[in-house]
Amino acid sequence: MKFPFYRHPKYHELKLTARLLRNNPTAMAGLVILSVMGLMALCAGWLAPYDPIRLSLAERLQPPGMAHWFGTDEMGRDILSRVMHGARISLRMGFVVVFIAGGLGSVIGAVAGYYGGRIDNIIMRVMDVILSFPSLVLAMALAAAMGPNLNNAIMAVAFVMIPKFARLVRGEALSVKEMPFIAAARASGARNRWIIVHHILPNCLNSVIVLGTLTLGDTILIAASLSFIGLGAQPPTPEWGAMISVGRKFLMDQWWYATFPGLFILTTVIGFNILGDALRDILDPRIRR
Amino acid sequence: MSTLLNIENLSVEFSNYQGISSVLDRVSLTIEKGEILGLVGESGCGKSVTALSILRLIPEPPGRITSGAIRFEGEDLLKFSPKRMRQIRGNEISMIFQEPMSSLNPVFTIGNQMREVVRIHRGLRRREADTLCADMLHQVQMPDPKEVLKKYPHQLSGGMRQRVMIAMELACNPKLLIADEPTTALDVTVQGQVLAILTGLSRRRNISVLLITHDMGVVAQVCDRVAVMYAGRLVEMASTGELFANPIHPYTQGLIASIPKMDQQSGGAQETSGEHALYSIPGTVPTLIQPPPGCRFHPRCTVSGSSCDSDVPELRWVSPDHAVACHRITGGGL
Repeated sequence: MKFPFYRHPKYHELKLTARLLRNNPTAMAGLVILSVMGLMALCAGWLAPYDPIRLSLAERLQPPGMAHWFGTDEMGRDILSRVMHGARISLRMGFVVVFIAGGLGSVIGAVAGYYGGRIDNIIMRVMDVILSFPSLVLAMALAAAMGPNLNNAIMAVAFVMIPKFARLVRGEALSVKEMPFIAAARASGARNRWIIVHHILPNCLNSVIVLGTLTLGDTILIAASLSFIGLGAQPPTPEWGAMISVGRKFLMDQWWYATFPGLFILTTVIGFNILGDALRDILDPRIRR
Repeated sequence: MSTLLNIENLSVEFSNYQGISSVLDRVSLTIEKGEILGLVGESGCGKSVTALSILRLIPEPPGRITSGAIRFEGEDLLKFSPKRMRQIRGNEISMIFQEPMSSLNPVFTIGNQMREVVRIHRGLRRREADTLCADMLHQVQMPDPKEVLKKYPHQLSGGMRQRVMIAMELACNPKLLIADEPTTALDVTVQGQVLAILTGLSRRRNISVLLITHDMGVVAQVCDRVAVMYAGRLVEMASTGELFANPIHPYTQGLIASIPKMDQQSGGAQETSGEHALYSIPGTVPTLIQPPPGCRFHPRCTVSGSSCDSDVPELRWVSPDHAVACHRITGGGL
């Protein structure tokens, strides 16, 4: 046998994932888009040519040109700089929402699926009620009730997203809990909480990652919508939705104002969606080997 | 030898939309310290339910233990609190399952899973746990235990996985190991190997084993005593030698006659074609929702008599190490 360098199996799994990603052109496209966005968000402070909120009324509503690539808004602020800082807000919002909703939703779903019966019924009917509202409308109502600011918008969107994850994980939990290794764990004295945390949830992780990626796109869209109607980020915060909202008034004569933030929303959401789709294939154990 | 586990008149029922089926009907058996007891019978006769009852892992509902006692070292497990029961499971009584393919969690390494079990049950620190796991794997004759610890279940063969399971369960030093068809899913060669490991460990460490199987060959090979079940009842119990030499219950006789024999033509001279058919017991296992009255075996029995369809035969001792539940023997039938 010739295995001079033994590595942890996780290393091989990661390598396989990386190779599958590399060989998948759409996944790579999504990844590249998101890497650019991510880099922009992280380095907005250095990359942005101007201060995103400094007013310069002398330069108001300038069309795209050498000085301002994406033009300026009605206060003379550089739209490129604002869009870059906006990436920071939108991406952070997306990740925080998915983190909260994915975490809570997974636990709720795992509990419902694992215990079954009455508990399952009660939990899932509550989830159904939440799902029966259009998510944007419910998020709007919640954000309005809690008061319009960024953190409340995050909470509202997270709340709306919870049932998606709960449903998915419940379904997975239903099939995982019948696996013999669960019986084996029980036979060696494991308690229910242990089984959920150590056996059910880790086995649902792949699906949660896929749904999380796809949900990131949705989340960014809903978050931008909330800001657009004034329930999310407040001016002068350079949030994409909020920028479009103001830019709408100038759409007839100053097309660049609303167009660039809109393009960024579009690109980011497409990026997350195609990456999520590709991840679904890549993480599918039937395709892996 | 002293008694480790004593099951007395254990009855278990399962209910579904069709009605209530009596899956175990007054089953009584004992397991001595250090002994390997074989529990044999067809699929659905209640072998696994007996095992799960000992660990109190019968899903309730639909299952229900309606009567009986399971005394483990003198204490009735059926009266234990769930918390106390959890301490029994894994520490005192362990169980290994039929499917070695899926008895391990696919998303964690072997080491990860074994380590957690021994850390929780024996309160060891990480490094001590690792040493113990490697040692246990060595004891089940796993080549290169340290490397195996780093592998995922899908990287091991079925036999290796079953040995991992045995190592994992034995790491907690149980007094009783329940093995529910541990070798059914394995190749015959691997089967022999796993059985040898199991019996070797049992002898060396004085662990009692309840070996559930439907393979009479396995029974003959490793068990000290055998209990035969049919449709939820115990029909015969004897030491292995005695049972094979002198089977009394018609069902046991049928089981033994059904073992393929390489050295003789079963059916012998009467077979004109020279080909020999394998013996099989006529009929099928009855439904347990409306089991046949009296002796549950009587519709398939070749020697059933008048009272076999009305009176339930009790298990009677015909010699110090041989008990049987049949009217034909105890004089109630013919």
